[in-house]
Amino acid sequence: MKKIFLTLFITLCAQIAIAGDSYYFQRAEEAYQKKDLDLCLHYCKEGVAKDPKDGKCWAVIAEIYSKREYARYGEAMQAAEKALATLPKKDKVWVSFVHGIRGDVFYKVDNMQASKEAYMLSLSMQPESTTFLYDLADVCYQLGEYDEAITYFKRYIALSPSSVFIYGEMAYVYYKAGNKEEAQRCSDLANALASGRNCMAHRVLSRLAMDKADYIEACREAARAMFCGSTWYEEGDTLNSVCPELLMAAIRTEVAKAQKAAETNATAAYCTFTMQRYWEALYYLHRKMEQSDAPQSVYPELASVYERVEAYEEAEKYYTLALKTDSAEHIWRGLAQIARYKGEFLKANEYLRKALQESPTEGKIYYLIARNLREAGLKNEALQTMDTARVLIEEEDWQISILSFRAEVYRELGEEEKAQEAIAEAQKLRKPDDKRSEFYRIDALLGDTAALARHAQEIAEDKKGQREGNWGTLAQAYATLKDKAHTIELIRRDQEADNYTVRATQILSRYQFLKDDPEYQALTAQYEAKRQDRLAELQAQLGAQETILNKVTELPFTPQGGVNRVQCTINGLPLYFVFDTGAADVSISSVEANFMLKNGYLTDADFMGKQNFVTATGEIHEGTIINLREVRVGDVVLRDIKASVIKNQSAPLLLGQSCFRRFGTVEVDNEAQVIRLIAK
Amino acid sequence: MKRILIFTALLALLPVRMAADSTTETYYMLRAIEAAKSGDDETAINFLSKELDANPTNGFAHMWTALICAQTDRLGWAMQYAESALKYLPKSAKDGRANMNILLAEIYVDAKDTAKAISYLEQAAKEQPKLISPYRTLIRLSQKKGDKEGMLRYAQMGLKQLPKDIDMQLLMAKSLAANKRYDEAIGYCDKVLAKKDLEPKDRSRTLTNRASLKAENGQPREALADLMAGTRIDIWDISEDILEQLYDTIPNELRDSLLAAHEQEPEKAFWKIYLYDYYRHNNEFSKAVEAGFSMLPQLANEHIVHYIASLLESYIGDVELAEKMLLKQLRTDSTSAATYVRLEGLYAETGRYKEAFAMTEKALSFNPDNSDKAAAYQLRGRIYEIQHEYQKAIDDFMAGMISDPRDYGYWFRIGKLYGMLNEPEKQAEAFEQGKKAYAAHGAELSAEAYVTLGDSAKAYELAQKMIQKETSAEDHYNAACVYAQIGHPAEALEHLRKAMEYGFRHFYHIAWDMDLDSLRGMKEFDEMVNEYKQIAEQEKQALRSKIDTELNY
Repeated sequence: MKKIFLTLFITLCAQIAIAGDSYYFQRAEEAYQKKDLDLCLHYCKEGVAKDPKDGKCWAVIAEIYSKREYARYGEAMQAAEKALATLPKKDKVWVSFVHGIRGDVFYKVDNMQASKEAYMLSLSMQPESTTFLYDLADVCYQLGEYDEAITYFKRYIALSPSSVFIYGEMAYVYYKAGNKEEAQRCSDLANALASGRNCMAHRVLSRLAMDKADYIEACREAARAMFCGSTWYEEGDTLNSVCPELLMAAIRTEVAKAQKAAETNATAAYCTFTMQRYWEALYYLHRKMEQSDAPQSVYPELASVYERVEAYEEAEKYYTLALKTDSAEHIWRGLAQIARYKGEFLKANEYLRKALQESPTEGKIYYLIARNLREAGLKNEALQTMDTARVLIEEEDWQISILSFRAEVYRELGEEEKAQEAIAEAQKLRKPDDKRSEFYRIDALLGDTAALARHAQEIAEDKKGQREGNWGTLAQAYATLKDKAHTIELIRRDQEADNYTVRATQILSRYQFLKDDPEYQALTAQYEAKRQDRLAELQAQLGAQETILNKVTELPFTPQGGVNRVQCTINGLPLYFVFDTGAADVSISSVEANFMLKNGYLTDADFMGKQNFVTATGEIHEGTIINLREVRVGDVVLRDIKASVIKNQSAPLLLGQSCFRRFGTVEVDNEAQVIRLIAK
Repeated sequence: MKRILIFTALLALLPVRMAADSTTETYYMLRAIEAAKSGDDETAINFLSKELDANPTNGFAHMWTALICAQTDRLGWAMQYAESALKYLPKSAKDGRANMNILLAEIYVDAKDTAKAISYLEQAAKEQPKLISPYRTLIRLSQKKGDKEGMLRYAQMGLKQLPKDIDMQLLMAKSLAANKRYDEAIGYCDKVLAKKDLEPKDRSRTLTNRASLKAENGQPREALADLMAGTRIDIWDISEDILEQLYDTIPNELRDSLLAAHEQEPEKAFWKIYLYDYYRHNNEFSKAVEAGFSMLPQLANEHIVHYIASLLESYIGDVELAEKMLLKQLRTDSTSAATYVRLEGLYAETGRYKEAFAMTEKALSFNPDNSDKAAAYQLRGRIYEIQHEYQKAIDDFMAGMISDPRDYGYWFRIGKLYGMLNEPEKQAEAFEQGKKAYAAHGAELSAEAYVTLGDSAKAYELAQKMIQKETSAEDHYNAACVYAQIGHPAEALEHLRKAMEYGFRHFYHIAWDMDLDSLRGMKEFDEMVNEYKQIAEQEKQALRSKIDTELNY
């Protein structure tokens, strides 16, 4: 179950009259409202420095330190204790708030029993607080006290019946408690109350179906959950390893339900990316970009997925476009990666230095710089830079990688003693039966081929691991040993798992020993051919969005008042137009345009030419040119048709040349009352 | 939640409120009801919450809030307020209490919690015994659960309270029939029919109900008489079971009665419907199509058009006319996903793949129901299969199963395609999934599944079973496919001939169906298909001229 952190503080501030509050507390509150937590903290600290009995300031310090982004839990607890010691006992709202913070901190440091006790204290002071009820239910769930969790959820729902999501949460707890009947009942109720859009309920239904080995139903429900919650859930992990194609089919059918929503395509892109189906992710990202109000926000995602499938030109194009509106560190890193795969290692480092300007203490950027320096032959500089990375990066997995890098480079420099030192240091981090892929290269450096064979076995047994690209990491280890047969075999497996980066094996020094090997060359050529096919397929898919499928399309019309009316669908909205070959454009009246804008059929991005086309009251100016993303005329789907908005409210909707010029011939058959559109 | 039901309940409660205790007629209540009546739900809710702040135990305010919340899809609140209304409404407010119980029951019916729904409905019946809807729903829920005794119990309860109510008496007859107590059931219908001043529509539906009971009770002639008498007054939804019984027992008498009635009352479309159905059932497809066309001017119903088009395509072999009908239907309703799916099928069958693909897209874009969605994917999948694009076919077959999980049989087809893609692991996995799916649904593997699994003996056994029962043209065709795939060409040809004798005219399908590949090139196969093609052509021409001249389509 997901822990939901509800911030009580704002509510508290809103509820409580500020009369009598200290100047510092009031300033802190203002900063909190503006989400400037550092400033808020500053005022609170000043407040307690002036008056150590300012309980509210202590409480706010505790609240801020307890947040995950600060994670200064010890200080949070101290502040909470001081707050409790100084706040008036009768001020139950504030005292319960502080106990709630204690509960949060205990929860975050995994002391669930203490967390429960703290939340119970909070709840005893405010028995009708849904926040504390949820917290208690959650902590009881974490402690495996399922019946108690259910009791709190029931109290919650009694206080807040509109929170129908709680039924889904209850279903999950019932499921965990092994009470499948109740889990099913609660899930069904949750969906009945939420028009089938309760994502937790769908997750539970997916699990229940999995338990019955009914994978069709399980995938259907898992996909529904993902699209309700716009994210990927762990049920997807299981199903992706058991029946990936079926899960993908379920995702596709969910997309088909609401193809037009940018959010739907975003979820589909996220899911397919998680499933490492990068080509499909690219397709959905393009769809998302088309439908998004802010297409530029999609550029970095598109670039990184293009990078993943080694379409470097496209990746570079989107990263460069992204830079126009955003100079975030990850964009520079993306550009650096592309330069690296082009063999331009020093250029890559130029980009990485720009990334460092954005995030000067990000040790992983130093790591990447060091790798490029090594490839550029600047090994001593590489070691120095890696030392900086080592200081800045705390994560143990990265430390192992850094040490294996050092060992490799020292060995290349002929400094075996230092190489051994690095290996020994890495070995200290190894746990019994350690399966971390970071140790593959250490094992290779130790020449422990038996260990490498064991790793291959482990990966083969772990379907999920194969998808995460561990074959590639193991290939690197064998490449360190210059073991051609194993390296090629592992590259092949990495390819099969759709996780291969051919450019890495072509450019990086580690793989240069393979360069002239015919088997490697054949493998690479095969991969490249497959990749080119996929790229062409994607381009065809994206290009085929404008569909004039039939040679002849018949469009029925109704004569009315001397003109012929035809039905068209604009961005999904059916409208009747007057068929007028004399008109230059498609034109719609401001009434329709306003309706379309207000109801989401048009977005701001559809307005062309003018900057200030909509007044502050939402009215559209006369003569505004808009882009109709999708015009369905009979069987034909046309994209990006220019249209003018006429301010006259009774102006007829005209279907003019900007639409019909897409066809070769347009015939009007008055007898059959159809307009024949004949493709070019 | 059925909005209409709630809204009806809301209106029904107006007099309840008016009759309520004067203490409920506060300013806020009156303003809330005024707003609710004018459809301004938000204002109504605002006034109701003010009322509840002032008077938290005003059951009527709780009740109105529950109804408006249900009306506006705030079902969590609706549930809560309905519960609290039941707590605070005075015992005397029986209609209100009954309606709150019904509201809660409806929510639990939607949530598939039959036990709770039943308990609320029972309570509703206790509160307001003169209301028929709780009994009707209780009987329906009991029937759904297979609880025949329950049906009877609730019917008895209802009848005790509403002894003269025609609906209740017919529900009693239905419940008795479910318990095989036909004579008593028919007796209840007799009682209704004996009533003086019975409205014609009530007489008609009671006769139709009695016809159904008599047919089930092995009295086909009496059933036919009732059916004809009832239908002459008005048309009702006839259960297919009656017709099935009559087709099986007295087909000629049924046909003659229908023809006579049609002659007497040619303006009534329903005689044509019956005749159409009769001919269809009796494998007289040309006549069925004629009857179908003749009713189109009166009943341009989408389903009827689909049926006729499918008959034209499958049993007459007139693909062009079928296409024309479907396209004409699209002019009437250009957003019908079901029609696009039928067109997709037609184009897929006849090798017009590009058009079929376009129809798939159209069908999917108009929010098809689950079975149409599944069909749209599966038809496209079949085209991909023919085009050797196996992975795409697999994707579509899977999407089909996801859209309609009852199509789990496709696992075996998917397995077969993985075999074509030389992916033995995935093939084995698909077969395994298929077996599990059959087991999860408590079904036996089909003959086709055994063919795919390579178990010819079992496939042969099941194919024989398939044709031992009363068989349709499709059954014979499917058996022929199984035999052809397991190396029994003689039996395959025999059943293919029978399929065509029974009217199977899917010549395009026969031409591309890979299941029959082992027969291709055989002289008998080619001769047989050509022979029936000629027969079909003659039938088609004869029918065409009738449709063109007499029916002026």
